[in-house]
Amino acid sequence: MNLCTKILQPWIVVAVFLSFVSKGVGQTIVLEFSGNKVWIKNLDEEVLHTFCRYYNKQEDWREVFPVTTAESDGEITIDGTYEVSGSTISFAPRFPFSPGVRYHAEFHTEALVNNYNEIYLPMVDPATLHLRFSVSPPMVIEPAVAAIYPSGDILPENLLKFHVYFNSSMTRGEVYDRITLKDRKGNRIEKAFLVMDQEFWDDDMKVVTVLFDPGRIKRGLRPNLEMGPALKAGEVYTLTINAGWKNIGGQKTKHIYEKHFTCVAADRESPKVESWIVVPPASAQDPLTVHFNEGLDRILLSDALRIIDSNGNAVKGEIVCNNDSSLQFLPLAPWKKSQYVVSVNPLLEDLAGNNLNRVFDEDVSSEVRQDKADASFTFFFPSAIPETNSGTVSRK
Amino acid sequence: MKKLYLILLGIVSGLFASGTDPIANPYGLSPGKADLKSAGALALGPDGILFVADTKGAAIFAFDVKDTSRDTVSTAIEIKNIDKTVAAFLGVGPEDVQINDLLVHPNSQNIYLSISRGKSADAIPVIIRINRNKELSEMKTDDIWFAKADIRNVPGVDDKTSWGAPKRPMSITDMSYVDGILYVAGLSNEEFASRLRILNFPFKGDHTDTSVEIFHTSHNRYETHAPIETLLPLTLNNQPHVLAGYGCAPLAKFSVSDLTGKKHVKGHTLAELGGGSRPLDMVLFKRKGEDHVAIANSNRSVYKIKVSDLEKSEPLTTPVNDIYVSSGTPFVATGFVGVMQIDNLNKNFIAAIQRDIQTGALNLVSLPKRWL
Repeated sequence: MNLCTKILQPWIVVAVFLSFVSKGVGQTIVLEFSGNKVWIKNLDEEVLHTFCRYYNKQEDWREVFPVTTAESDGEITIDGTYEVSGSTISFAPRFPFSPGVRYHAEFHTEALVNNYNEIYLPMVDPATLHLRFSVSPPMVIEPAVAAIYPSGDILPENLLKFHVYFNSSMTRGEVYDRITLKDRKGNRIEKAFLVMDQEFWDDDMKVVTVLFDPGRIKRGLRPNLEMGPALKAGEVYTLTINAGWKNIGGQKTKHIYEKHFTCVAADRESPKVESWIVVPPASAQDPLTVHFNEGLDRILLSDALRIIDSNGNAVKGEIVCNNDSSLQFLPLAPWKKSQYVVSVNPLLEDLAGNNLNRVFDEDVSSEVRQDKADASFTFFFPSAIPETNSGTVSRK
Repeated sequence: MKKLYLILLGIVSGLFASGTDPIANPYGLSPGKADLKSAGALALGPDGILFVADTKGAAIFAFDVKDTSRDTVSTAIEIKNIDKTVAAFLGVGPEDVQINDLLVHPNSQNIYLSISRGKSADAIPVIIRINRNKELSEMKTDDIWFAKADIRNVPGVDDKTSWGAPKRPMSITDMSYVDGILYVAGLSNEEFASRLRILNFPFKGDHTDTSVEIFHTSHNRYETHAPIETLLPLTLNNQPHVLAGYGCAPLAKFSVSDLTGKKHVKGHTLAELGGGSRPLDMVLFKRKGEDHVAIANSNRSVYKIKVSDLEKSEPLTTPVNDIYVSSGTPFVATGFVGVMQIDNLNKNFIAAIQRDIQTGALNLVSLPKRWL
């Protein structure tokens, strides 16, 4: 994102009246920030030209015209490029100035008035110009948790993951501090989640996934034997997303979000496509609806189905999920009279991470496993009266 | 006049062509702008070439960093608050700087840091070079001699993993170059299948994917799913090997001859470094004339292992009997804590990124080999 377009405070100016620096009495030298650059304007061209004959390297300008973060001690100047043009010097940072960071620019006028035996320039007061500036955050939206999946409140004790959806792009590094799991007494469940430095974000940084530690879920692994599973059937839990989580604009979430749920017995079976209820579209504009007999992974659902018409063409459309246990497929173009084959992505998982081909907690052998072919079903449009199980379900 | 101009132009361009012909570069590098989308693991190639893993772009870049100066000093380097220093240079706060890897160039002792500037989806990759005078500069990639190898079997931009993220951030955890081969460790999918991708360098043709299996001493079974966190090329008993540090925390060796052209390879677990920790980085160093491996750990101090002890070790096939317990090749837990990244600086020191556990400061330090 180009921060230049987001700057709400376009410029801040510090102007100093220097009556002696220039031959033109009354000339005002300006140190300002605008257009994502820091500028020194209205210098005497002859003075500047003379100076440049001796000092015109980038490192020279870093000494005379340092731009730093206010937080730093001033020894490290910001990476960037200085340019001299006419009566102006500009500094363009290598990377755009960042919202929420305070910056400090200085211009040491005394450097210009050093006597190079060419022009007589008396000392000036003040010897140094200062400018403090910052850019406004690109987003003023208050970050908030938009949804937590699975959406249900009855979940298997071998639940594999939670997906937390935000209304804006968030920042890394806070997942395992902000998200906590507590039992009914309010005691924190320690080491419930798999901690990975990379964190599991989507491309837009709006969805983060926390995985329960597979070592505690999978029976027989040492963490499972030592600590037991994090969740137990019959217990009540609260997933808490604490306030203070920053989005990319630097704003923090203000509210605490809680999801209460009860655990039931572990699910160690693959999703059964055969038991899904398929509702063919009632009209050419209507969606295809599929009801599952259990909750499925919300994110994988968005890529779960591929629909092919009788000519072998893929039907373009959009999958819409309003909950974990059903989806609708909305075609871009109206349905045509045809038989449609719907193949189901075999990597589609239920809430316990069981996909169509294997259960999550299986005994891993050393053999490299071959995945099975896709599960699929067919339906016709137009169908007679929409009815449950009107689709033909098969596994190749 | 126009004709003369064209002839002159032809002569001039012909003169320059001989110097910039991409074919002339022995490693297949050519000049241009490298489309680096992220900067993760770093590795050193032949003739000082720098490999940079780009997990976001699903690629590995080889850069000619033209680091030809030679510095033979054997003194330490230290930059306190390295995160704040880098942040000041990049014009952000330290919370917006993530140091992903450290590499010391053996010629110049220049230190390269792969950095993410920002923590959001549009974080900018930066390679920072720090010279012996502690001066920072950026290794710019918009006009550089480079080669790029795409990594296959990485999901497309729109593909979602089961947790909604691309697999790419975890698709490359570390790299090591040995004798014309670049070994790339990483996770291949959401099932935590561990892969070694094997690339010829100069890059040519497709890479091979090898599924790697070891006996996991904490999990008490053979696994292909545990991720390799860090790699080190190492000669053991006069044979080239790759030493692989796993999370939670077996240390295994793979014979280079076994890795060539195989789809599935079994490694030998030599040591269990103790569960509840991940090895973060490894380096080979000499102490009192003897080769050692230093291992930086997420939840332990730096470990030191004699290469001769690795050579003597028998493969482990039995589990440890309790959490945190170690077994196999003997090692020494040194007194250096909070160390995250290491590389040889010179004959006396190992450069390291270290979190000071008293002050919390993140520092660039030099660990004296004689105290390791």
